[in-house]
Amino acid sequence: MRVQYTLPGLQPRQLNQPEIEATPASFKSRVRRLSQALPRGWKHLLHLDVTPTGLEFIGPPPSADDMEMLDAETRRRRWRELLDRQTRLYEERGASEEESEEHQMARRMHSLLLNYQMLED
Amino acid sequence: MNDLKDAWTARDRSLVAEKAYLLLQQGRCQEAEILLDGLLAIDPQNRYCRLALATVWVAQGDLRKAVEQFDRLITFYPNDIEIRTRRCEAYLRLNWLREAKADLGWLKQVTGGEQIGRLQLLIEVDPLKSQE
Repeated sequence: MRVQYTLPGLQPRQLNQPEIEATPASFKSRVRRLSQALPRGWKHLLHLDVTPTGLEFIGPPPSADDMEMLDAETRRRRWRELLDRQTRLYEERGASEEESEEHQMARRMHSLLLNYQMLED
Repeated sequence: MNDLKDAWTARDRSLVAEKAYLLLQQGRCQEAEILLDGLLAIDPQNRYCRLALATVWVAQGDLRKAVEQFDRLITFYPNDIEIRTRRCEAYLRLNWLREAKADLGWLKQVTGGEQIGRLQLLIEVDPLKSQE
């Protein structure tokens, strides 16, 4: 009697192995064949090519005091207050004034944030 | 510059940093850079923003700009292991072995661990590169 130990559809995966040779191969030819089968370079095998410096390694910023507890409504209100306050400050200061590089960068950031605000409204 | 820091409170900066983080997660690096630059103009010693900016540049392959940021970070935080490790990585990718070895030497003195072992292996085998 022949017993079927495997379930149909759940057969063990076929290994991608070379066919067994009729005559035993020499040790040298086996080593050569195995080394040809190695997928990529040693750096890949040791995961040395995975540089831990991608964007995925940037975590969330440390949040200030009660930030984590804010609901969406409060968060929106804070954004609005922030941008209104900054806009007032920039209007008071005026655009004609000579600005340092730092001020220009902050102003650029503020403009971008205002754009986001307008898109949300 | 102090007036900027007065105008943008810690809470404001935290909100903007959060926004920059969300943009980075969406792969909108250029917009995130504008926010991070702005935050750094207000608070140049902000570790999170500078490290995030350096990481963006590493990811974009602009390693020299990244190293500039790491250098500045190290002047503010000379004993920070993460910053040294990341700078060492950037040096290695630039193939600046002398600088990488100096950082690795410092890291060895201060700590040990998987990350450093990896860097050491990369540095030690580098002369073998041509034989690959």
